[in-house]
Amino acid sequence: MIPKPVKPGDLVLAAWNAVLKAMTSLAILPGKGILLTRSPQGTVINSRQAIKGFTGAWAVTAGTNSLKVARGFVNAVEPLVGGFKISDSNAEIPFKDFVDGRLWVGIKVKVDPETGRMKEKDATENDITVVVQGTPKSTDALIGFHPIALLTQKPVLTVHQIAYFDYQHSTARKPTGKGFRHFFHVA
Amino acid sequence: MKFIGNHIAASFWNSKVLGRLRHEDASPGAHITVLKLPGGQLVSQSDSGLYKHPWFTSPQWNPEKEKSDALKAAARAAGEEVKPGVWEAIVRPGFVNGEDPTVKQEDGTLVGLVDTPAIQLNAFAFPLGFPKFFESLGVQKERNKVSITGNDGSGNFDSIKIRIDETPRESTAERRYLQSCEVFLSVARPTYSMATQVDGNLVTGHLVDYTVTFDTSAMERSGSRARILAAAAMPETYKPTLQDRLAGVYGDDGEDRILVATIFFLSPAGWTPKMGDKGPLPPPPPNGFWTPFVRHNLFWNLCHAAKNLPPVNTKQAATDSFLSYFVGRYTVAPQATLGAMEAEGQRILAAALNNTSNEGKFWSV
Repeated sequence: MIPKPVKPGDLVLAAWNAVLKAMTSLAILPGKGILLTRSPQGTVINSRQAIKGFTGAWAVTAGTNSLKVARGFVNAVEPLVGGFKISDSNAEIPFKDFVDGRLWVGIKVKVDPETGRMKEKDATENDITVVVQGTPKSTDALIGFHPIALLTQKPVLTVHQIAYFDYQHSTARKPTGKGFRHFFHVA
Repeated sequence: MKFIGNHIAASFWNSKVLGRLRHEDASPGAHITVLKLPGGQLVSQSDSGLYKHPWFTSPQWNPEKEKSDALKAAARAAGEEVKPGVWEAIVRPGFVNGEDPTVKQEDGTLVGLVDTPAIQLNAFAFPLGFPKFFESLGVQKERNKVSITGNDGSGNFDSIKIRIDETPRESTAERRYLQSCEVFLSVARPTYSMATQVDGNLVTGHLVDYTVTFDTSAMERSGSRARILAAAAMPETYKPTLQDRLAGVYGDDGEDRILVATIFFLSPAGWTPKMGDKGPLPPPPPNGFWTPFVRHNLFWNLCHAAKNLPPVNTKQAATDSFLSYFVGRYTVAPQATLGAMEAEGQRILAAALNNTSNEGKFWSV
């Protein structure tokens, strides 16, 4: 603690002792993540670890009515939006009309009705894309939907990131024989 | 003028000496915390800018909230006066199949994790196992009695009984007590229920008729969305044997569970249970003076799926082995042959009956 200012007539020794005590309390001590380098010129404070937080794949950043998605892959294929790869600066996904205050951003994968496999070579936006919808599920058995973020509207627009990794997609034929169950596993 | 005779001018002192000290007074910038201590200024990196994983659980003491009936009963059993104040947990939103699990509030409403509901902790237990870390903080278990006897009491140690009576060490100033509770996820799913009909025939073998049906009562009770629950210990999933399944005994309550975190509560030093007529009373629910520690078990969002295959009702004819072993040893085969038949029967039965379990799986995404 810094000593109080002195007034004319105060004793020097008492003021000096207060300064010595303050000097001790002002010494810089290295805490978590801090490395000190002391020299006659002063003390250099270094950070020992990266401050930047982990973000991972598919990081969603939302504006008021559109959003962007960072690069991610399904079966090593990057989804397309508006003719651009999702990591392209031109790839913007509009959104509106929240359902009960929520919207899901997700990867949409279409599979072959015979083989249950997604198209990996020369895949188009029709084969793999990122969409925004009011539920975290797909109602079409030939389309797999994997949520990557939840948008909530209130009290302020908030992005809740769900996916952090690239994925492998696989299917299992439904017992009825029509369509598939879709599974996304961390690649 | 700085010096007047043996004196130092107050203005010089305040501007130069104290000014120099002020210059050394550290202020926290971005991602930095500064803790002022008598021996110096502890500069540390702040966690605020760092990634926090889904399901990160933070316990907090709510001194205003009335205790639940269960907590009141526990406090009375411990010989304590019932006062307001409960421990709650806030779980950072995590997702199962893209949806945030719900927490049931006192009024029965379900609130999703993204709306940061508080989960009231109503049950605690002394943890059966706890990290060694707590031993260094004064938590002790003393093995007063260890007795080992043969099951038949005659010194035959082919199988043995080990009895360990664990009672807390006598009170010391450093001794601390530990309680814990578990926060877990639970997802309801359909179960199978199977009925078997056996027609025995010593000459031709046996005819076994299974009827497998879906039971969706767990989903009707709890819905399909995952829920966050807290208990002294997460209920264990009963693993039925093949014989159980054949007999239609499942013990499957239709819930798949996975542990989110264990919260340990460490008592103040020197705390001891109150004494009753018959010895120490059980510990009261931890209050705000106990220190919480969280051991996380989940770090990523999850998907969950059960097989949900529609039941297949199958009539099985067993002429010489197969299910006959499990429905009765109606056989005249020599013992050696019987052994081989049993092994084959076990293999076939396992393949058949494992299809009658609908236990789901969680996986990280």
